[in-house]
Amino acid sequence: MAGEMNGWSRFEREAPEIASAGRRLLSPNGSGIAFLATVRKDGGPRVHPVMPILAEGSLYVFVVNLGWKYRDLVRDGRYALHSSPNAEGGEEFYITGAARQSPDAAERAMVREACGGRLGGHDFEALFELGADRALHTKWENWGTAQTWPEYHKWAAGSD
Amino acid sequence: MPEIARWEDLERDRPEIALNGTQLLYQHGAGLAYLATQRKDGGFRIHPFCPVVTAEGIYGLIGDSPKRDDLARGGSFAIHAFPKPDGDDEFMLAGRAVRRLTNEREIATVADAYHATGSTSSGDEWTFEFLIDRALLSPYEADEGGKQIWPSRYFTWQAK
Repeated sequence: MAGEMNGWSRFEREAPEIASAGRRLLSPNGSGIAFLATVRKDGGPRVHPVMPILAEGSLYVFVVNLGWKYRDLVRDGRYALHSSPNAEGGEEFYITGAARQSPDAAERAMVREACGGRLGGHDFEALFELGADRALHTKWENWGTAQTWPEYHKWAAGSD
Repeated sequence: MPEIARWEDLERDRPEIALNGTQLLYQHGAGLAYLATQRKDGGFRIHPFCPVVTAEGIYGLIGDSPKRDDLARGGSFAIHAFPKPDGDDEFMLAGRAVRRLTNEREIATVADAYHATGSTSSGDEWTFEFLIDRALLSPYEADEGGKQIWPSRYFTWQAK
């Protein structure tokens, strides 16, 4: 099961306010789309949407095992994940770290249940836990005006 | 090192990818997309930004920030259009960004196009052109009830 890597639970313990914003922005109402950057074979980035799932203190994604981002994550697990624009505007969240593929059936069942069975019902959906090395929550003050400015809240593993 | 090309080359070779991609980038009026850049340590950063498409190229006006440092240092990037409110169509570009410094006409054209969509500027941004080595357009078709049919179709292009 999760917990051996720098994971969401450690992030949540060390920076609960940033993690709370991340949970709200990555998975509003328990579902949502975010954008996952992975490392291509030539070292450059690739970006695709995913549905992040927060379950039992860990961050997960299901990835189709026929696609490029699956091959990227298996070869080099480094990733960056950015929230979709929130309905009210003016807030962003992104997190980076290393992904770990999970072949564990019980963990898969737990994550599948956490997302209401929307994902994970097919063998071609591979489960990855996304570790957490650093996170950034940006709140734009005076959003929607010409006087808007960003307020940044950052966390990095082991920075305390 | 992969071959790289300008937006106008994509538009000439695969006009349907360029046209649909432009529509996804500009679906909210101003150009909006996620930009993944490569940090000094090889990991990635991902942030929203406002791409600018002209008859020649695709550009970004990037203010003083870590992502600008990333682009200036190595320039490896991936761009992904914002999600559609009613579907999961994707448009992604990847390649290498180059700062434009000397061609005043080009820089002015980009700034005019940027401001014409209502995007705001501090006036001290650097102009980068995103040179493309690959493009991906992935639209979904809908059934009679308007529901997306999975999987989507994939249209790809690589610079020659």
